[in-house]
Amino acid sequence: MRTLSIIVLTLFLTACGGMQHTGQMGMAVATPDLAVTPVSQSNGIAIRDPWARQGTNGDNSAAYLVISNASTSDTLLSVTGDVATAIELHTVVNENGMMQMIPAEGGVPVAANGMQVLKPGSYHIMLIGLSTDLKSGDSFPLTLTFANVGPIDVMFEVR
Amino acid sequence: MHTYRVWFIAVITLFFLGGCTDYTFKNAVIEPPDAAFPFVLTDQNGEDFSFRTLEGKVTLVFFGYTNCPDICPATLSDLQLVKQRLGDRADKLAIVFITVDPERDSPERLKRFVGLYDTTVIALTGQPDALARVYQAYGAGAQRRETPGSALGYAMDHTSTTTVIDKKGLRRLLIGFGSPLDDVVADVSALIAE
Repeated sequence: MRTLSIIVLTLFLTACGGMQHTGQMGMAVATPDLAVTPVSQSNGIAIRDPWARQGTNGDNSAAYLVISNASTSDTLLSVTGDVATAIELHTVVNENGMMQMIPAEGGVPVAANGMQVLKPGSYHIMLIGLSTDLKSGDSFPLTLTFANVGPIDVMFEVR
Repeated sequence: MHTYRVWFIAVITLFFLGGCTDYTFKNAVIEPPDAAFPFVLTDQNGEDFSFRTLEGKVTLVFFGYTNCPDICPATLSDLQLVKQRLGDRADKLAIVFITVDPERDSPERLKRFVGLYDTTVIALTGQPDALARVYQAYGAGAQRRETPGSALGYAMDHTSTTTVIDKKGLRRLLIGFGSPLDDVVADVSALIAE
């Protein structure tokens, strides 16, 4: 009898709310999976899931990635590349519902033995004045410069 | 004892059946619903676009600007996912993007921007006074902020809330940035089914 109750309950719960969880508004990105082999690494800093949004020559876009750090604290100071006229590190602050995009002064911190996720609505690499169209499936290189470990070259995939 | 159990199951069943018919919205409900401001603005093809033509569809309205590389494309991209997940009901949903940066966002620029995601998105600009009335009616805040030291020139701080309008033109829900996509799909589906 109890089994029957549970089956009935499950049936109706499933009927009402059975949906898969695929993400949140503005954050439709998977939870960082550190089991995935990093695309680049250097002295304890590992880079996973580097991607950028599509964009048109002359317009702006943004790039994202997951940085994990198996060493002492570090800072992503700057990003360089040929893909855009200017490449800057920015973050987004939600001030009572007003979204403010502000430069990440001093760079993006990565805690010792920690992780920093650059994602929509948070820290991101801003590509200002694209020098080419970025289409889904394209890829392009950027050089990430960290305060301690120095430069790391990373290929970004356009999605 | 046996009768008691049967009754227990019957009550539980009715409870959950009731839960299905009396749908509870997952995003913030505007109570009571009010008539959405009926704007006429200029679309990405340079043509007049009237809000009235959206009657019969569930409409998602959000504000942003094309130079915004993060929040606005993220929202646009997610609303496109919502539309895809509606499957054959997708034509019952309209997505409207209204610029908060008319100085830089020409119809051509808007067309290029939304075209990267979904060409069915209605992207709108207009005269500053006409836009100001729309911002006020939809509780959309926008403020220009100079960004010295950045190649961006200036940024537009703006609200990231998406307003959901039902098929009769009533404002019903507000979706905040970060709301689960499943909730958005469920709420939009419920409004389409009304």
